[in-house]
Amino acid sequence: MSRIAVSIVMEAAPFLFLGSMLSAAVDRYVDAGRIARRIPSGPFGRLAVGLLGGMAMPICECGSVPLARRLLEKGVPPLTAITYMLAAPVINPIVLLSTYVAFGGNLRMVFARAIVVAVSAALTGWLCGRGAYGPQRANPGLMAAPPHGDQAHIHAPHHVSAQARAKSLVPDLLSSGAAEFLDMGKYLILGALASAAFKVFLPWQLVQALAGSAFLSISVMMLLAVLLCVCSEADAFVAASFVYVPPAAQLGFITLGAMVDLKLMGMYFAVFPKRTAWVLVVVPTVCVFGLSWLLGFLIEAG
Amino acid sequence: MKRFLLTLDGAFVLGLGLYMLVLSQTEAYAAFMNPRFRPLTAAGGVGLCLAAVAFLIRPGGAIDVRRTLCFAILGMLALHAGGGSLKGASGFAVKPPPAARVEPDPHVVRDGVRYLKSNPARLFLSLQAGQAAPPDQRYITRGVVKRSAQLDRLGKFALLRGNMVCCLADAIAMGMMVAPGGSPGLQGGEWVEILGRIQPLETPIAITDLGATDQAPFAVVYNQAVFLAESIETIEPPRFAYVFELPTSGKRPLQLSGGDEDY
Repeated sequence: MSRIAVSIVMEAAPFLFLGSMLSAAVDRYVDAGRIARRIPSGPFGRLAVGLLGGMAMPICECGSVPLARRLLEKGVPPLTAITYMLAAPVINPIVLLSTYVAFGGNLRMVFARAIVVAVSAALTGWLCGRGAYGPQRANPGLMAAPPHGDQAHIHAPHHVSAQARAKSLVPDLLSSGAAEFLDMGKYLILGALASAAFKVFLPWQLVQALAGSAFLSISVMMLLAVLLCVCSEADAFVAASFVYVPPAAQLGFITLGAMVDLKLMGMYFAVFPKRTAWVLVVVPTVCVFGLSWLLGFLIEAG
Repeated sequence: MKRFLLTLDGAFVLGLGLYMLVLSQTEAYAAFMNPRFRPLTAAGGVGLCLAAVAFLIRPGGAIDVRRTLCFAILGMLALHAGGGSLKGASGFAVKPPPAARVEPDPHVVRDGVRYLKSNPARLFLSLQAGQAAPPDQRYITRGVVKRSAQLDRLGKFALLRGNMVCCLADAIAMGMMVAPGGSPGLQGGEWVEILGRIQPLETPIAITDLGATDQAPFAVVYNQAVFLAESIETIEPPRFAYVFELPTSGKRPLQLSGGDEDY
């Protein structure tokens, strides 16, 4: 069990670190308001930016949460930031290619995965933008505070030379990134522990037996996606190995896990107001169930 | 107290970075993650080390005892996990340079018959991808025996190998149903080398009571074919318990990606 937990942390840590560094960079060097002004004012434009952002700047689900919370802090509309956070781990060339390979070149599965995630992310982002997000700020108590002396760095007095400021730029950024990583890492570790425990103690024979029913199999595979915390780059290979379940259930597995799993749930409830966190958990789950059921059987029929 | 806890936090991040960096350079890495991710883990480790040093010099943010505790638990888990369960004394031996590796022959000749080396996971994936095995193709394969009530009733057993895509969390034991012929009964958990061929089944058989193996908590066998064993030999467990197979198009010639032991 310890090896499973450690392997999950080791797999996710580079991506979480990348997300933390990007988040720290956005916090320090992106002017609040400037980025928001560049985003279209209409809902479709905002949605498109969120979805296309995922294609242009792919990031694993662990890294997308700290980045999204910082974008929200900088005034990026929830419709864009939340949509990006949920869609980026799946709607990117790497993950779609891995899906294509895992399912033996089944393009219907690739398109279905992209559609289910895009629709779920868009609906969740739209609901968060409609008010479920509450105050337009993430949980300020959990924001990584800048290192000591940081304020002096940001609002540098005139006697601090440009050279001295440039010199402390990288260490400051790294220190902020480490603080951000520590904040989010806690939830990664807890999620990894819980996932490892489930993986070891889950009655797999019961799971296999339940998966025999077409309707139950979607629920079972979605539950597994939440419990196992498999990375979005690898989950298609795992799903494809579940040969006894219908494509609808495999689709449910590869779409929900990148948006809702144990480690992500911990992060959501830490970073966002409780109401938003519930929206982030419930809406994708309901969407994935309905759309997987619909598209999965279309895949099978095709 | 605040400074102490922040220093401890920084030390844990530094420890995690160093652990990732060191582990990525050892053979034991294969017990945690697919070796193709070594560069990613190493890069992540270096990044974490640099960030931790910067954090130790200029610590910032609020203290959080639960956070510190979580990282302490991770440290203990890493110590407990150690070098994984690799056989042999060189769990943490630095891997040999690529130049020292020799491409193994994908075939073996026994009694004048050529057998294609293929581990049970690769057989599973290639059959699942629709690459039908030619009727005259003979295989040599190694794996762990798994018995279940369903298979016992059919007079078969499962031959499995733990397959990892990214990390241990996604590892699944996969393989084939084996018709043992006249061979004596084997115990679950035994490692065997089997020579034989694949015969398609007219009706798929769903085996749903396999449960866990030592390599993975979930096991699956290909349900539309059976491996007809010509000979079964008990062997020592391999040095690398896992293989790292992905579905292939079948157009490229077979390469034993994990060296001479991955069949």
